[in-house]
Amino acid sequence: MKEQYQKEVSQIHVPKELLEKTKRAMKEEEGNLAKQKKAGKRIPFRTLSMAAAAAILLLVMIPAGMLFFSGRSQSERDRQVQLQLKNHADPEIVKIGQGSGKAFTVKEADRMPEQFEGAEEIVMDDIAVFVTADEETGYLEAYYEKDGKAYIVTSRLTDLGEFEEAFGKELK
Amino acid sequence: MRTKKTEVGLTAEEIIDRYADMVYRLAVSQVRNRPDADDIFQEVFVRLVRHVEDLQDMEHAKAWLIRVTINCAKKHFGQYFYKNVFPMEETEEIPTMEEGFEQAEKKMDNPVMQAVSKLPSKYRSCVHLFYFEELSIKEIAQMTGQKESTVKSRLYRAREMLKEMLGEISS
Repeated sequence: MKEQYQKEVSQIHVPKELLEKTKRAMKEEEGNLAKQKKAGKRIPFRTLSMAAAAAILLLVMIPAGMLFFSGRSQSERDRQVQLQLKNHADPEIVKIGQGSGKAFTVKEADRMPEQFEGAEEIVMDDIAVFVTADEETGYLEAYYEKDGKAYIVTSRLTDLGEFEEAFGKELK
Repeated sequence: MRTKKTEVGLTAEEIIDRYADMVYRLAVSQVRNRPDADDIFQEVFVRLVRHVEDLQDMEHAKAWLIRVTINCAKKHFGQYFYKNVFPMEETEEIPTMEEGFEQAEKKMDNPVMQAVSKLPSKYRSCVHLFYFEELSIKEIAQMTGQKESTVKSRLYRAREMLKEMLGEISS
């Protein structure tokens, strides 16, 4: 059986035409390879397509990520500010004024603090306002009563005239 | 243009001159018809040009050629089904794959050749390499990327099938 198989198979030979055609194809391939080598190393299509996909992904992901994180940090900052405000919010603060860019704060009070006893009294819109200056900073502070409630005013103003003008507008 | 060579200075042309028949016979044994074997033959040697510098010597080239021929034949079988998908109107005029093989078998007068051609592809390559190329089981295993035990069992089964087929033919 083996001999018969060998005898039969050994009768198979490559047709001369095919051999010549293949040799020509090989030469052509060799020429193509030489041209490619001369033109520089060719990057395989698969590598190129993967690199392009990665680049597109980066182009999409980076701005999206930036948007996401900036939005998140913005909202985080807002949340923190709100939290701080909430934590530090004094229930007694009823109004924050920024008259002429110079802030003053009005708080409810139970009674007149000691520093206002003997303070200068100014009448504004029929309301008696006791004005004094902070011993350390010199900022003007005031105490007044309105509608049965007592209020303390702290300001960043040192000039009584300015204080009267700004606070007078606020009282109205 | 500088001709590419193996590590020991062999050119692709020297390799084709030496192994052309081997590759062609293996291709014929795998695809069982000449036109397909022609295609595989050409593809194998064009690939050789691209890889000749990776080869060390003639023996390495031989092993490479056998492996690539078997792979090309497998790939060719994959394509064969696509090649034979035709619209319904045309099917009567074109022979089916089985009819094509039968026609090829009719051309083989020798009963042994007929029987071998009826073996499944994986058995045919083992039989061809073992009985015609006279390679050892270890060499066949290395070239085909199979375990030695797999090659042994394939040869055993192929022999059993051949005995059965040749018994039927002789009776």
